[in-house]
Amino acid sequence: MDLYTFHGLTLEVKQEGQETGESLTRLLPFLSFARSRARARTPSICLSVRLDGQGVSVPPRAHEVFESDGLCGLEGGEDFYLTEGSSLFHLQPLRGQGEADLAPGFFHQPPLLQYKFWAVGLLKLLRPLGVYSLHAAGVVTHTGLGLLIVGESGSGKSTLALGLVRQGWGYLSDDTVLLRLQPDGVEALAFRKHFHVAPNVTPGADLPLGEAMPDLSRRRRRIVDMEEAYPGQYIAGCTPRVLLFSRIVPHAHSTLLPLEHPQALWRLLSQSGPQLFDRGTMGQQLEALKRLVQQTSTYELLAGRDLYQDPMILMHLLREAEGEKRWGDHSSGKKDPWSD
Amino acid sequence: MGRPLVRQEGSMVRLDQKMRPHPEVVDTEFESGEGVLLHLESKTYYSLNLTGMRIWRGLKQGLTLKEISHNLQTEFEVDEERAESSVLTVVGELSQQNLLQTPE
Repeated sequence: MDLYTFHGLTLEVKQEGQETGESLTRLLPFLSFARSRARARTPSICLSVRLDGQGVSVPPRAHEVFESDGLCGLEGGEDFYLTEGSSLFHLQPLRGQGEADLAPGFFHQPPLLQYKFWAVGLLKLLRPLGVYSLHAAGVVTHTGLGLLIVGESGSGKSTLALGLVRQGWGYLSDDTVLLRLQPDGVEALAFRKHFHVAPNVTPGADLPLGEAMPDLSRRRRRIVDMEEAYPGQYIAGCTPRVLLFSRIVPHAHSTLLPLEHPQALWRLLSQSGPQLFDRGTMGQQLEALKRLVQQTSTYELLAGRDLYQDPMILMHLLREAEGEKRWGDHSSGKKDPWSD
Repeated sequence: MGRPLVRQEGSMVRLDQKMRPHPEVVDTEFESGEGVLLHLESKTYYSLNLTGMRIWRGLKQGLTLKEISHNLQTEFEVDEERAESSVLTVVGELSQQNLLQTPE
């Protein structure tokens, strides 16, 4: 049995056979789960993993709620099922339990499909614990201001986030952050640590790059080991103060357009994993998203070519939109890297 | 997919009907009075302006459409005809999007 901690929560993993759970346990550290020796009296989530060649079988009452990129999700009452065709992840979110029956062929599936199988299952189990996923990159300025760059795959999140990290900003993730409503506001938590960047926009040869391979959207990506490339810049959590809804435009110059709160909430919903929405947790998630919008400045970012040549253009745009007071802060005593 | 809820002319609902929100719809409201509705079955979401959200709130409270219209007249100082027209068009659109249950 293995134990992990994750943003104040605990995860217990039971596996039958050493190799059976390896696909999962190899992944967990890259999703911000840390191995723990301390025994949790009642773990937040319990997973059991076993080898099973019996084929996928779900109750007849379960109905399909999504099918994307080789992974299918089915819902039956309070239970949820994930399958890639040969293996089954049976989730009981309200009980904090997941049972994975893996076919031998599972280990030969593409790594990104294996990743999605585990990651989507974990995200579903986190919902009753008040932790909700958001398709966004999370970065933090030198002065501690959290920014979330929200958008679909291909909207430039990873490239912009990487550019800002290269300027010394902290990072949570380039693709998925978790949101948790606290008494004093919404916090964003790190999830996937590695960045997946487009090969043609990867700046310079100073990055420890993995092999280029297609992601689930069939775009070629290189995996960047961020802890090796930018040690000390990983940040487990932050309080977001700016939301940017990013879109690449074929223009020379980038633009920031203010968004009203309802518009921003509406856009957030589409990037909040609608396939995992459920009756039991949606009210709380909607409240968390509303609070997130209320505690942030919200903009549509029309990302032009200038932003990818110089990511710090973003600071100029934010200064123009919000004034020097917030974005020209020298109080940290550090040299302001964004001044002209 | 989400989309704004746009008022349309003409509706099949009447003021003597009482409508209820669909149980699979959750909502949230901003201080401005605007709000967002989410239908959990279809995973679709809608934004409502101030008037639309007032009407939605009345439906949640179990008011008749006539009572909701009366509240609009009081709050926004509009005449009866305009308030009733607003209620009927918004409720018609909400019904069309399956955000309301069958009238009693």
